[in-house]
Amino acid sequence: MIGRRAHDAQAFDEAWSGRTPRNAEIAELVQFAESICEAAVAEPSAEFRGALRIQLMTEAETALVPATKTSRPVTLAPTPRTHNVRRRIAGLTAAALVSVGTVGLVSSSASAVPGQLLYPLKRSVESVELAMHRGDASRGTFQLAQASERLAEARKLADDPSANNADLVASALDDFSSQARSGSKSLFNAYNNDGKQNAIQKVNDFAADATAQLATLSGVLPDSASGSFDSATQTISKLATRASTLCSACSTTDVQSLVSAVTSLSKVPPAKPASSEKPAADPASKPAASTPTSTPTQKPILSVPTTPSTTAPVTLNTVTDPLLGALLGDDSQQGLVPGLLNGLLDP
Amino acid sequence: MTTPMNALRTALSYALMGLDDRSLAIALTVADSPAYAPSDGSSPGPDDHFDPEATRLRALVDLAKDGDAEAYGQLYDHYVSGVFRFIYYRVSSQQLAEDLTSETFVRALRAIQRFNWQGKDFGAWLTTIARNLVADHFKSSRARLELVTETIPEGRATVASPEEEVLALISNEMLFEAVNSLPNEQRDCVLMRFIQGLSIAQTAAALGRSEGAIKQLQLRAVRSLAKTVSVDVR
Repeated sequence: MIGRRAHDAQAFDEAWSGRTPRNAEIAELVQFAESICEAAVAEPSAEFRGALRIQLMTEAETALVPATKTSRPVTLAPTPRTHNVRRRIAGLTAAALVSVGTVGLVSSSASAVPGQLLYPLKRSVESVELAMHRGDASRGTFQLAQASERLAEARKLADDPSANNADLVASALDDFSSQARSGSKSLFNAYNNDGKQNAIQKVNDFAADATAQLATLSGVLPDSASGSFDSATQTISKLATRASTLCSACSTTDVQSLVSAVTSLSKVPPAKPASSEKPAADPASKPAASTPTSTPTQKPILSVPTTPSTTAPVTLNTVTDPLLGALLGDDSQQGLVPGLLNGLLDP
Repeated sequence: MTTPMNALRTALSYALMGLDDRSLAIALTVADSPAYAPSDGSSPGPDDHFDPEATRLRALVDLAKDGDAEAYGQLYDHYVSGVFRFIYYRVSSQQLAEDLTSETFVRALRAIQRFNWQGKDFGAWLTTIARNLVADHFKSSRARLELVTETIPEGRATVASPEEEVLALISNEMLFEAVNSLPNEQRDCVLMRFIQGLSIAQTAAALGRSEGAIKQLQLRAVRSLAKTVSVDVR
């Protein structure tokens, strides 16, 4: 009986595999089995297939990873090669996407001012840029450019009356001072090392430009930032003086007038050092460097601001009003800053 | 001596078959490993004797075990319909079948590194996972009868479009009922052999029985099905 059953089972399987059925019953059963196959039409939907494939591919990236360590050495060689190409392409694509985003962020951070979301990014980018500058001359130039940027930021912040930006203005000015100091120091080093007058010229140009900027800033400066403002003006006057002591022949502008203009901007009269350096710088620079055309026009203007600022700082307004007039020009006079700038722009 | 020659032949046939890097990887895998030499009737069964498709699938399994996601994707493409059909004719709900199919492939993916060829076929292994999941499903939903009664009409409604009903001697719904009235082993045997399309060897591996036992099982099941359906039809 058992033998018979096994025999039938074998006969059916052979018939199912394509051989001629041994008898009618087997033939009928094979036909019936075929109809079962035909009836079984259920298929997963294409949508489901696709979604599940994506899900599995995603999971496979993590689920299959440990295998590479324990895999058989024979098949190891071909596998990672194809896999790595894919991964590398994916990595490159991701990097490209990230860098596109980063470039956008970095470029939009360029106009950020302190207190804004992107401002820290702007400063980080600057320090990265600074790190790429090799050599004192280029570092110094870059740092002075950064200092000018701080000053522009302070100006922007101070111009906005709605926000209470006094602290931010003060810190921007402090940053300005320190960057101006380190920048000019680098340039002075560069001058000491190779004697190129270009470096000193840059400091002078910067000082003149910063003086003009500080002058406009002083009109909108919040009171609590005046301490930082004063130290900024002192920094400028110090580095201008230093520049003239180092190389009297380098400056095309009258250093003396610059120093006194900057000093006069300060709301609190500066302490001794700035003025005590003047005589030292004076004899050196005057006869050698000053061009006969620029000196006479600037001298009379300068005498107006310097005298009151050092002698009678009674109230702020009485001091600053004539000062600003002298600096920026009013009905009666041309103004120091426009004069200086004109002198700088057409040598 | 013939073994390396056969392996080389298979490898070459893959290399010439297509020019994408996957075929090349398979070809290299096959050429590298003596494991792909066609076995003489022992493990994959006589049907698989130098079957390029079977060899390709084995190479894909090894590539997937080594961390090749795309190889697993191709295995998925090959097996998803069969696994889905096996589950579908047990649960008779498109939604539930999709859920369980998805679970099957996710589990297989997580466990593929523990899979080895010793007496097992990958399709059979997948089917075993699916079968256990279906059993778990019924175990857990037996307490909640409403779920079981709910799934049957849904199967009726979604499947069996008019043309198919005309063409097929047996409708989906009848097939589902008839198959599920069989004893468990016969039912699974029918599902694997005729609905999913596994070989005798694969079915034997999935059910943990000998090939002879499967041959008997399938005959018994077909006989009993034929009886049920012919009574139903008349």
